[in-house]
Amino acid sequence: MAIQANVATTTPGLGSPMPLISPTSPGKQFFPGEVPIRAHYPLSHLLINMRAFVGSICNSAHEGVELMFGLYARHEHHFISEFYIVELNHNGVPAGPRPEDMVGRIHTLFTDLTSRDVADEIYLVCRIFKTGEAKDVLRPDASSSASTHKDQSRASVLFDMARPGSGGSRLHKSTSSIIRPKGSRVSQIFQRSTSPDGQPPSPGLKTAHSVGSFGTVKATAIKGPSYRRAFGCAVLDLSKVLQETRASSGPEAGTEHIIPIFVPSQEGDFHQLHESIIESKTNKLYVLRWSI
Amino acid sequence: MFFGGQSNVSTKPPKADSININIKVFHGDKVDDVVHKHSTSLHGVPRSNRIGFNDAPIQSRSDIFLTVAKAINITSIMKLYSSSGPSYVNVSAEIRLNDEPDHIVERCIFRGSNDGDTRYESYVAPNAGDLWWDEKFKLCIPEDIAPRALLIFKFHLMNAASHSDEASEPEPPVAIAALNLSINGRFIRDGEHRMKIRRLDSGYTLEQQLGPYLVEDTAPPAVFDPVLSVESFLCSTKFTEDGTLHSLLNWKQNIGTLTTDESRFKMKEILRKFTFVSEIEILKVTHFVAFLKIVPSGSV
Repeated sequence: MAIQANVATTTPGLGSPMPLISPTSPGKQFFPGEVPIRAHYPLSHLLINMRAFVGSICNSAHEGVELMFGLYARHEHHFISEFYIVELNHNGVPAGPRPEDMVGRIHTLFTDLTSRDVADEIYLVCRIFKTGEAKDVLRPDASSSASTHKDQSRASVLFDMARPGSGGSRLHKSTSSIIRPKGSRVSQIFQRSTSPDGQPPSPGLKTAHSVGSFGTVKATAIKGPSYRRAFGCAVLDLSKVLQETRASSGPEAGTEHIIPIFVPSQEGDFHQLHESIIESKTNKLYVLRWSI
Repeated sequence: MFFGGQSNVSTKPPKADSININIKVFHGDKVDDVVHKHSTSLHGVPRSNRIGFNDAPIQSRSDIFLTVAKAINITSIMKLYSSSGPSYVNVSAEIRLNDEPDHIVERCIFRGSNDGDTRYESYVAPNAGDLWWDEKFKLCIPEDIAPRALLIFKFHLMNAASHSDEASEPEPPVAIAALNLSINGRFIRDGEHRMKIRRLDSGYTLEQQLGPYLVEDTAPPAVFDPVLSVESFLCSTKFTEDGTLHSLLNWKQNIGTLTTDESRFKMKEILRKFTFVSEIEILKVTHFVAFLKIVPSGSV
């Protein structure tokens, strides 16, 4: 027998009799005269909008990809936010009956970052998993391979091609120590789409680089239970983003980022992969690159 | 080779290059106000909340964050499967009631901000006889269930031989571990909790073996015991992990009327210790403070 437990995680309208003010509230006094007034820095809230997953890690139509986005505090050595989960099918487009409805809507708002968080080092971590049937997902050779094959087809889908034309959009490369090949296809996409004149990308560019198609996605039934296997990780240093936007007046058009994906050489090391990337301990890691 | 070495699926190696994202930063002390002000960008956007309170809470919240950290000394359990051990270990977690262990609380486990389920499941490859996860999930359980909530972890061993191309029934768990989330009505302390992992006898059901586990395996694990390590973090305006605060909030149930010397002495002790409770811990449950007004003046 099961018990239903539908509980809202955050329920507004507590109805407290008076405003709650604590000694930790910047610029406010809990005990007047006892706590000095400090400079008031409002909380920061981070809107993450996923544009594209560039890669093809699935071997069959029964597999999928799961991405888990979370904020990680380096000095505290733990995640400071809940995870936001994105599920993609084997083509790299959002899983579900109507993936076209998800265009431009793979996003989440990470809330309540304090001035201390902004001052410290905060990273956006994306853990990547393969999902699907056991015979596909748990196969020993189904996860990672460092070799580069030129005949490898590419599944790259841009979820939202509409680029802001305000001129405020900027391209930020990841701060990872890994040197990425110049002129890679991914870089070209963003360099051209975020041209200085702020023009949106041409339809030809959109077609050329979008291999996956929402219109051709077919729901694939998984016969048995679905399994999840660790694949890789992507990390982005948010310190610069947070500190720069604090100085600016508003969110403007946001900033574009390309985050490389790393895969552990030993699958058992996956749990600490994000820390290894942050610490630039990349000798045991590798990034899978496309042949140019 | 796994799965008989034959498969009709493609064997091309996986490739992954990058994830492309757009980031916008907004500022404001109240996220609701920020969303209202920038409704074009933020209306309907799912929120991924901060773990913990950055300030005195102004909204009711009752989240329990659990991190499955590691399982150590489990070589003997893993060798149950085969001499070479399993390829993967699946650990699943669910909430049951400690007085009714066959009852499973549904849809109370959240791996992500946008994902709710009855079970948490994870798969990990053994690493030198140990298992390392470092995976976090959130529990949202009602107030009436929390004092009786029992977190149960089940271990399944998996390798190629156990999965054919045809769908099959999942294999039964080979081991369990359990953690009571409350002790005498008070929530467990934040931090690491180490639980003994108990091998299951295939001749009995999990429920039949859970009772003896809860009775016999309560002592701290020895050095070489198989141990599951889990970290908890309470982020709640309803529950508290502080014993004194819990005693004060529930004084009427625990002490009763303040008519005897003994009951008055107990209340004085609680109030004496209350001065040492941290301010932020009190602020978390501030909406309960009005409750203290019912303490008759001059009765303590």
